[in-house]
Amino acid sequence: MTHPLMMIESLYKEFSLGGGFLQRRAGIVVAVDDVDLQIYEGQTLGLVGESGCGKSTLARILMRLEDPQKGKVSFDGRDIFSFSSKEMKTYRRHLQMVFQDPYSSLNPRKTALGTIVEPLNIHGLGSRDQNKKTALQIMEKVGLTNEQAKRYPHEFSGGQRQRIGIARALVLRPRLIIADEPVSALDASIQAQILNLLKDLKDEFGLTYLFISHDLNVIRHVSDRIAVMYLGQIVEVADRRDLYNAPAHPYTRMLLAAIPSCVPGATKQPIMIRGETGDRADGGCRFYNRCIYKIDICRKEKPALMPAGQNRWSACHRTGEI
Amino acid sequence: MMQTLLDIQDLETVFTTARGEIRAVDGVSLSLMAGETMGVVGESGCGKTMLALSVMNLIPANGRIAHGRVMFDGVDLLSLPEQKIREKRGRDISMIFQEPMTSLNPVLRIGQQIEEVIRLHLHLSPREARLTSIKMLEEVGIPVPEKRARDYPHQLSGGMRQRVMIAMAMACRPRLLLADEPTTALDVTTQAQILNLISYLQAKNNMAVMLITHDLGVVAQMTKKVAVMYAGKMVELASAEKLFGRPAHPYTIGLIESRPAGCDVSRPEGGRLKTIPGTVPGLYNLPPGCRFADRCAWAEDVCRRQEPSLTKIEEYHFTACYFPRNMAH
Repeated sequence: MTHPLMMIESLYKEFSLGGGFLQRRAGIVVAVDDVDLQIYEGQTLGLVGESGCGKSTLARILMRLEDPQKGKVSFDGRDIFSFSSKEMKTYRRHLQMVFQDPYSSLNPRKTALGTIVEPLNIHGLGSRDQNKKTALQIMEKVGLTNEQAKRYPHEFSGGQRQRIGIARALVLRPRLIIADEPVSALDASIQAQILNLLKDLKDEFGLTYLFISHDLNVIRHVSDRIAVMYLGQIVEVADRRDLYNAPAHPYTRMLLAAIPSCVPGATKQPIMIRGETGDRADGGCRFYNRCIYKIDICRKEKPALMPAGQNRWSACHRTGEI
Repeated sequence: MMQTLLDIQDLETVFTTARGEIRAVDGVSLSLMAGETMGVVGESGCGKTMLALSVMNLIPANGRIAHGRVMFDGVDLLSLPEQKIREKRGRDISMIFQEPMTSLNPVLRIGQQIEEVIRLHLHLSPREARLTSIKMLEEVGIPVPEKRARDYPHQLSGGMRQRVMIAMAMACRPRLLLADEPTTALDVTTQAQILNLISYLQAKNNMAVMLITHDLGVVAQMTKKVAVMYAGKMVELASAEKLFGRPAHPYTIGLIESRPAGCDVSRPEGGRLKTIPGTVPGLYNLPPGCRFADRCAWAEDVCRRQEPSLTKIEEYHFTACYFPRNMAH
């Protein structure tokens, strides 16, 4: 077994809602609630959940763009919150991010080459000429031509812009790439091109991905292991095949039942989809109000992640019985 | 015998822009029976939204309908004076959009917004209109509708807002609903609920639905007939079984095959996806022949010279391709 490149332990992050009367706190939102996760070297961990479940906040904490209130994150065995500013710079080289919106995540006043070469210059990795050469090589790897190097973002299509975003992330030769909904804004025919590119790059550079998406079709395609997040908590972690063939947690079952079938006239699994993400129960299981398997204890006690078979976990009191 | 409700013939919608004229909808013909659902699929910019807006005669100011006919229940909507077509919009034909937040008035209570439609078209008293609006909210599955009617749009979740939009669209029991990406902005569980709601209301009111989407899964689940659009043209039109079972146009095949296996556990996961190389051509300088030729693996000389027209290849299966792939050569 490979060792975890990133270990996340009991991570907790809450935001206070502003706008209360005379600065009193109007309430808090727990975006990341006691999350434990491991990302193994060379694997793709898929993180799936609906909007507002905290998956992007989790990514931002790992990038150290947000600080959590509690918990520990170690990268290659070292605590990321205790890094000195010099160590932080090295960490940022090893960890890069690809964003959802290829329109707003590129500087409109920089050429494609300018955007891709910038990280190299910031990190002072080589001479300007060398860096330019490296950047052009990476551009070729992601399927952009040398002639396109001098063009500005508005001259590119959405798919090509996403290629620039990927090249920018890749140019520092990171070990872990966090891809936050990297294909959600793209059309179907372009989506497949980018998914293939991410896969090829992973094989070629030995990358590890944390792949965040709300799209269960995409998640199944790219992930080795999948974590399902619901209202700040990880409710299920399992290998891809186990998760899709036999989902353990009631929420995972509901998510899978909700995917429109690819075959016309196919009969849907008889699982009722009910309630909205907002219906959260306080104190007990967060999924209580929407769950068809609930029993008394679910209202009173929050379930922790428990083993639900070999190498898989589910946060449900009824694991094993349902 | 089913009755034809909507019959679009050779519709052409043209936009004048600083860079010249473009044909957003280029010679599209299709018809929809009463109570039937048709899916219109395509990627962004293929003209699917403009097709729906042309039916409502609601195209933006720099556009015009250059050619064609839109017969609704025997009346040509395009030749009606503005006053007459306004009576039809919202009453006989309704439309729902992708982003319910921008389509609702943020400073009016949702109850009032529904009442407005009802009073305008059905000439009910304020009291009756209020009761009807609450009944509509109840019908689309909004809990405690009397109380919710007094909410403003920002107080509702995305799914609830889309329900309100549907309540408003359904208030006058329209015979045709144009649904433009109604679930694209929603989470997957909410999407499933909204699609169920649309199916339920459709069956209950014998309403025809034109469902515009980029999501083939949604089309497979919801519709009996499917039109595929590419760069302003309709390239394939077929029943859903034929379109998914034996797609003919290379673009349709590409769309179907480039989907990740997803929920279908019988298909293997991972591996490389089939892709459609290249990108959609810009509408400003379209190639002389088939618009898909540059991306097509089977294109021949004739494809680059002359544009193929929509041709029948079997019962209710049409495609604009010289070499349909599901036929033996």
